[in-house]
Amino acid sequence: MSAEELLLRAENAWHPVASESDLVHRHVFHGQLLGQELALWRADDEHINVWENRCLHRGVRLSIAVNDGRELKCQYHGWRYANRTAACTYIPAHPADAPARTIRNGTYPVRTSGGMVWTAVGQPTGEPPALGQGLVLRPVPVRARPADVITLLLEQPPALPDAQPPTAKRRGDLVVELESVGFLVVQPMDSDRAVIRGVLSSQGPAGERLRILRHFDAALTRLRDTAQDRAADEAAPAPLLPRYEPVPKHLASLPESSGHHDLPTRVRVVRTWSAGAGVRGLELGPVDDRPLPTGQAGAHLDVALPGGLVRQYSLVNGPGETHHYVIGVKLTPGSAGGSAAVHERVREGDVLAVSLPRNGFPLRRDRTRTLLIAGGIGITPLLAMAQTLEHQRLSYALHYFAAGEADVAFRERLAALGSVRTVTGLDPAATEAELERLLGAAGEDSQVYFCGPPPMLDVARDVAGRTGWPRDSVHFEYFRNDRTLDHSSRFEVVLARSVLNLTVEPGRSILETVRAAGVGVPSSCEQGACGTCRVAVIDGRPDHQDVYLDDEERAAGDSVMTCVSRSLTPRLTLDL
Amino acid sequence: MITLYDDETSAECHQVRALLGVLGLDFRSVALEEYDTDTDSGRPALVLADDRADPPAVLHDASSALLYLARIYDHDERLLPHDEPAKFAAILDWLAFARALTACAGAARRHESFGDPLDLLPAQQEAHRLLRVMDRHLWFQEQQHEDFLAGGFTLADIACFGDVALCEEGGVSRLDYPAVRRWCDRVKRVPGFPLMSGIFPTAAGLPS
Repeated sequence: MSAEELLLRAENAWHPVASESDLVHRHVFHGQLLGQELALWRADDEHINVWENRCLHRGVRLSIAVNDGRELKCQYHGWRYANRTAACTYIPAHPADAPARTIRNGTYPVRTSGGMVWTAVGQPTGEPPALGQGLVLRPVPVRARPADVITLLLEQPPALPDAQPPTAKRRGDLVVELESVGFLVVQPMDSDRAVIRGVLSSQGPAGERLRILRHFDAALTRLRDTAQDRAADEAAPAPLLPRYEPVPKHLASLPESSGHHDLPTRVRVVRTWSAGAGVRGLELGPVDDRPLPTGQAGAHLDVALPGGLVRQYSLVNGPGETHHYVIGVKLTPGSAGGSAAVHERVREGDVLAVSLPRNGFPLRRDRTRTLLIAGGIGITPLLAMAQTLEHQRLSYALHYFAAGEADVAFRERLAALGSVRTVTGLDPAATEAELERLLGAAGEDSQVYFCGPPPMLDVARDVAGRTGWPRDSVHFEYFRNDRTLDHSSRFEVVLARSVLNLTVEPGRSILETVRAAGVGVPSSCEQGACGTCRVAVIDGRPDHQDVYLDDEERAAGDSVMTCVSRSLTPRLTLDL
Repeated sequence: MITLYDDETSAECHQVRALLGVLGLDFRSVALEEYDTDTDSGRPALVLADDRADPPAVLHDASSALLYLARIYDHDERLLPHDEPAKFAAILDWLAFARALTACAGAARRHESFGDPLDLLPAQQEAHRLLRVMDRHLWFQEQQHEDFLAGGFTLADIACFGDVALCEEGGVSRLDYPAVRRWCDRVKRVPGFPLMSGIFPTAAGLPS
C-alpha cells in the first residue's frame, strides 16, 4: 500500500490525537490530524471536546481561547461556545440577541483507549483498538511520512531496558504491537508529519516508572532522528489541505434587533434648498450636543415625515461629514405622498425622527477601479461614494444620467469631484447603448455600483450580464420595487428560534404575521428594495418578489425578504 | 523609585516587567527611546534604574536586571534560592537558556514582526531545537508533579517565558510542544504576572 493510499484510508479511521493526561484543567490543547487543526479541551464535567480549531466569527484559533470549564471564549471578539455541542452561546457585539442555534462550531467524535484521546476526521467504522490501561509514553513528533514511520517501527522495535528487541506486529494501518511490551501508534498529523504515541501494557514497578519513561523517550527520539534523516533524502510530499466548510454569511452575523421602524434619533432641519429641478435638499443637524450616529457611503436613513409616512433616503454625506445628514428628495407626482410631504410640509427648524443609518449598499474599497452609474435621483448614494473615493484617492468615474441639464442635482458637490460626467437627454435605447459602452470598456479588477429608477437598473443588469461582468463586481440599489406583487398564497411559517408556527394569510406579509405574534424583525422600505428585513431560511423554498437579492441569492433560497416575498412550499422555516 | 526604560513590544523587557509584577514592586515605565546613550555603546534592549539605592543602581540587560531585582527585593528567596545549590545552578542554566531563546526565537519574531535583519530559517530551526528540549524537560517535570522549570516558580520561568509565548509571531509553532503550552498557562496564572500584546489571558486555574 502506498503512502497516499494509507492517508486516504486514514480519513475514515480512529487516530489518537492527545494523551488523556494532556487535557489538564482549564487548558486548550492544540492538535492536528490529517492536515486538520484541532482544539481539544476537557470541561469541568470531564467531557472531552474535540473541535475544529477556529472561531466561526473570524477564524481565530480556538487553541488560544479561554477554557472557563463550561465554554470556550474566543480571544478575539469573545464569542462563546458550549461544552459538548460547540453551539455559540453569546456574541458580545449583540448583547441583546440570542445567537441562532445554527451557529455551531465543527466537532469530531471522541473516544479514549490506552490513555489516549482518539478522533476521526471522516466517518470511522467500528471503535478504536483496545490498548488497555498501562504506562503512557511521552509522544514524540516526527517530520516524516506516517507510512515511513510505521515501516521504521516495524524494522527497529524499541525494547524495554536491558531486554532484547520485542517481536513487532502490525495491527491495522498505523498500530504496531510490541509483543508483551505494549503498543505504538502513529498519529498522522499531515502527509509529512506524525507523532509516535505509545502505551506499555504494564505500569512497571513504582520506582522504575520514570526510568522506563526516559528510556522509551530516548529510544523514540533516536527513531525520530533516523526517520527524519531518511525523509531528508526525499522530496517532502505536499501537505494535506484542511477541510474547512465556509461559514454561511448569515450565520456569521446577526440581524440588527429593532422594532417596527425604530427611529431613535431626533434631528432638526437646519437648511432646505432646491438642489436641482424638483429635488429638495435637506440638511439635518443634531438637536443637542451629541453627535449623530455615523453612516457610511451607501447608507440610508428612514425618515418619519409629517402625515405619518416613513420613507428611506440615501445619505449624500462625504467622508468625515459627520455633523449633519444631507439627503435629497425628488418630488414624484402620483406617489403615495412621501416626496410631497418633504417638499410641501417640512420646514427649516422642524424636528424629525430618523433611524440609525443602515447600509444595504456598502462601498468596497478593494478594487482597482470603481464605476458609479446614477440615474436621476439615484445620484444620492453614489455621490457619497464618489466623495469617499475621491478623498481616499482611489480610482473611480461617476456617470450621472439625467433627463436634462436642469435636472442635475447637487451641482456644488459634483463640481468638487475630479471624475464626473453628466449624461443628459438620452432615450431608453440610447441609455442602453451608453451603458453597453461604459461597461464594455471597463478594465480588469473593476466594480460598478448602480442606483436609479427600476427600468434603468433592469437594463443595466442585462448589460452587465452580456458584457461578462462577474456577479460580485456589480452592485445595485433600487429605490423602489416596481414588480407586481402577488399576495394571494396561504402558507405556514415556522420560526425556528422562537418555536412558533404561524399561518400567513393571503393579503398579509410574513413580516406583518410575524410581528403580530410578537417577534421583532427590523424593516425599512417594506417593498422589497432595501434588504433590511432579510431573514435566513432554514427549510422550504421562498417565492422571491423583491428586487434586493440577485439571481444567485434567489437561486440559493437561503434568505428571504419578509416584507414582500412568500413561500413556494406549504411550509417555510425561518431563523427567527 | 525604580525606572524601567521599556519597550512594550520586547520580550526581554517583559522579563523585567514580569519580575517587577510578581514581586509587586512599583515602577515607572519610560519609553526606551528617552534613554540617552552615547553613540558607541548603542541602545541597550532595556535599562533598569533603581534610585532607591544610593548611589543609584543601573542595569542594561534582562538577565542582569533579573538577578539584581531577585537579590535585592526577593526577600524570602523563592525566585532564586541561594541555599539550595542544585536548584540555584539549574536556574542560572535556565537564564543562559533564555538568552539562547532570545537569540533564535526572539530574533525570528523581531525579524517577522519588526523587520530586523536575520537569516530566518536557521534561527527557527534552533528555536525548535530549544523548544524540544524544554518540552521534554517540562513533560518529565509534570510526571513528577512539578509545574515549573526548576521546581517551584522561579527566575527560570520568568526568563524563558516571553520568547516562548511570543515565538509563533516568528513563525515557530508550538503545536509539537504540548507540555510547553501547558507551562505557559501555569506561568500566566502566577499572581502579578503581566500579559503583553501577543500574550493572551488564560482561564483561572483550579481553586487551591
